Amino acid sequence: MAADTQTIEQVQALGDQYKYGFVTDIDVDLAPKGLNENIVRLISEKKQEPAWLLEWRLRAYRHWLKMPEPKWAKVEFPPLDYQDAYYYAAPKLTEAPKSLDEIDPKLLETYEKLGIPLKEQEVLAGVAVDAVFDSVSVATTYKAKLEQMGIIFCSISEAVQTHPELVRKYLGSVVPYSDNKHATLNSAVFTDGSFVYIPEGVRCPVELSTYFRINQENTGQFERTLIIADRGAYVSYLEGCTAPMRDEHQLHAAVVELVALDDAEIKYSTVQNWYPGDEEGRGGIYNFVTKRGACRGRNSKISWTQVETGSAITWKYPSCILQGDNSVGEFYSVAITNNRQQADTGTKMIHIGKNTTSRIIAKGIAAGRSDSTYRGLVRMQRGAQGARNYTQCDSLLIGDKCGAHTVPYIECGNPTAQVEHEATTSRISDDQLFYCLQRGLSSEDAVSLIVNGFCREVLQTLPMEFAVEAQKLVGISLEGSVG
Amino acid sequence: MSVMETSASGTATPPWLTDLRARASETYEALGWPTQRVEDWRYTRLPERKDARGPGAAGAPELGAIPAAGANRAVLVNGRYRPDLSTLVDLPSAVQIGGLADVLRHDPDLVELYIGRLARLPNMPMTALNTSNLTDGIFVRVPAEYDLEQPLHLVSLGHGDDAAAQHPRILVVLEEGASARIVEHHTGSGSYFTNAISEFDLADGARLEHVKLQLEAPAATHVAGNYLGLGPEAQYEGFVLQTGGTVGRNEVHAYLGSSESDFTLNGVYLAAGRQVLDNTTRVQHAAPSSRSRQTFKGVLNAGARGVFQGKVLVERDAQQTDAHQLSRAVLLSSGAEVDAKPELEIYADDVRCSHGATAGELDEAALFYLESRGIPPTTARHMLVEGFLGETVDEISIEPAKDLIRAEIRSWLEANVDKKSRDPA
Repeated sequence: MAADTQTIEQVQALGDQYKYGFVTDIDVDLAPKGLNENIVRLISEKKQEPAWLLEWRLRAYRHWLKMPEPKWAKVEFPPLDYQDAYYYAAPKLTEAPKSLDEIDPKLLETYEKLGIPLKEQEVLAGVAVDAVFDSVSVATTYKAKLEQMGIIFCSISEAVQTHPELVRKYLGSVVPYSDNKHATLNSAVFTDGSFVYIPEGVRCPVELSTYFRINQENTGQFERTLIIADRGAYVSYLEGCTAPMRDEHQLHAAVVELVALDDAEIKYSTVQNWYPGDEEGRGGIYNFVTKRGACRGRNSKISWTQVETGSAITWKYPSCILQGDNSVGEFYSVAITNNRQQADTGTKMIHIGKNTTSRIIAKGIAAGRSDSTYRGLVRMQRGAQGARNYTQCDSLLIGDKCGAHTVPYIECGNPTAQVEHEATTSRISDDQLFYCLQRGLSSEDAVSLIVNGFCREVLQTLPMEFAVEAQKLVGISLEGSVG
Repeated sequence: MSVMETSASGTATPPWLTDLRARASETYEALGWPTQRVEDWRYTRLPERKDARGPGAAGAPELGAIPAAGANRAVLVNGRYRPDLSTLVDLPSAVQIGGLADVLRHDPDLVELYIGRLARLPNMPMTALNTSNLTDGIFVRVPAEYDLEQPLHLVSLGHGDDAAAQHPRILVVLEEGASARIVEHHTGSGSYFTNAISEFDLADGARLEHVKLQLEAPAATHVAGNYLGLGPEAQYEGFVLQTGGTVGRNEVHAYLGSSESDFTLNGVYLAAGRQVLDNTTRVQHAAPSSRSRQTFKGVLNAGARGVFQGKVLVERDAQQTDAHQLSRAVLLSSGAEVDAKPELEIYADDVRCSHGATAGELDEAALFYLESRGIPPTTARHMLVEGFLGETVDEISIEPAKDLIRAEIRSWLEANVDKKSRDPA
């Protein structure tokens, strides 16, 4: 049995435990099921938002009603019932396990395989953090240090209260509320997410991650992240984690907006390992994410790295709008699908400014009965004098029941611009496998080794600790797919 | 279907044909004229000519101006076969070449066996439109094991104004082990609209060399579907030149439904002014051990747009497929644009599939080198473009067609590429 199926079961089992752990008589602040204008108003009111933000949410909601479901991606799923979901729930008061001893040992085993530090395990397994593990103090230490440097790092709801002028200026400036069906829904009902502002000339000394954010609540299904790097600033941001994440919501429609001004650089790394559903793909998470970065300033740079192994359906295209002259966009991606998973992911590089460059390295690995699609756009606008793009998409098929697809759109409107695109599809060769086996490796270790080699270019762009975990994750995701 | 068509033959239309036309008509009505909202047409706006369904007045076509690309020539004018303009000599009786209407009259069952088998209607509005107008065309059948050595020149002439639409239809059948060399040549005068369909049915071990020339009148619009079916060990070697028309779109749909078939398709497109030239290909590998190779090269001058959409589909059973595709475009001056969408859809694991796409300008260093050797800038640019296209053109094995294509490239360069086109506006 595949390892991720095991973990799924573990997580499910854990979910059951939680169910019994809920204290039902405590008043849970839960809005009724369904979506309508009143829900949008309620969310805004609960968060004590200014009038302009409510207006914005309502505009998004009204626009959303008129939008058709996007049908172009190569993914299949029954129509979403938007009325059969909760859109607002205040942080629930639940009786969390007091320590790791109360956690299913099988889940802990998976964490161990991934080499996740003990303290982190506690957070992931949902152990009541404040009670057992002093993350607050760690985070507070960091927060004080960051504040000293003028870095703002808080939840977006908090930022709306404390820095409304920044939020108002940048929110929706990269992903407008009318962008696409899922992003529009997010604009109407987002409840949480991160806000980062790095002031002029500041280089953020640590890798920022939601993990260190104080008051960490359930991130929710409609997460909204806004990161602004002012002139000459630098920040590296980590999202997600390698461990399987437990979540009750099926639809996740997050929006991430990045803004890089002159000479600024943003590095955004994601490892996504949400519940992919059972072997038949039932019950997995739909991950419909809109991520976009704007290189507004000269010499700015935005780099996306993603390792996508979870979710039943991934629909995600982290993009760069290269507006400033000499700006740079990068996209490094590994997408692994197994069982019935479907991933349609890629990027968009829109070259507007002069001498802008972009680089796309995408590795898709499909196993089981899954489908993995790379879909990307490289557009050289008429004014993109001297712009350059290099794209490489490689797909690896494991087994004869899966599919790997490549759908690049290449539009070149400037003669001095250069676009290069290469794509290959292959499988793990018998020779490679035989060589590893005769050196005494098990077939699973061999596959893990070969696939890690295949993804190397991408994995090495991840921050150090992340990279180590991601490598293990690659192997674990494919366990049981060969032999 | 116009009234004129049914009365022209004088004899009863076979019921299957009436039925086929009716289905085609229904399909077309349901799909409508393609717009850019349809994914397959996102890069090419096809000027609407849906009212122009009748053929233009048959004028006096000047065949003398069309260089011969083979000893045997069959001619269509506005989609109608013209025996008076065709020359077919030295053909054994077993080889059938002639008007489709004629074969429909004398041997409708033979046509029924093949027509519309490859050019399927679903999702293809223009194919449906052509089929709903099906009355005439060219029919070619080469019997088993026969080698039609002499290139066969099939000419389709368009004639007429904005209200003229023609739907030329070509059906080529190569029986087991037969081989043929065919030059399909589209040209004409006026601002007519061509919607051509050609079907090539290659049985076991058959071999076809095919050159398609899209040299329509500058004001014309050309849309074409080339449908190919390859039997076991069949071989297809094709080449497409597009440089005519205001809007030109050539679609190639190849179905590799048997093992060990081999498909090669190369293409060159040259666009200037406000031209839009589109090459769309779809290669479907449905059986094990088939091979496909595609290389398309485009040269675009100010204001023109080139489109390449190439899809390679490898089905579950098509193990050991070897497929490669390459799209390269040179933009000669600002205002030119190329849009490429090379697509791989793969469901088998033991395959080797790759594609590549590039776009850029002529190599400045190479230009400088040539100029430093005393070669005038315009000549240097011509040399580089000819070199870029040369390796693809050189592979054409039908000599008269190769000469014709080289001449077309040269005259296009003379007309469009000079020193000035280098400087951005």
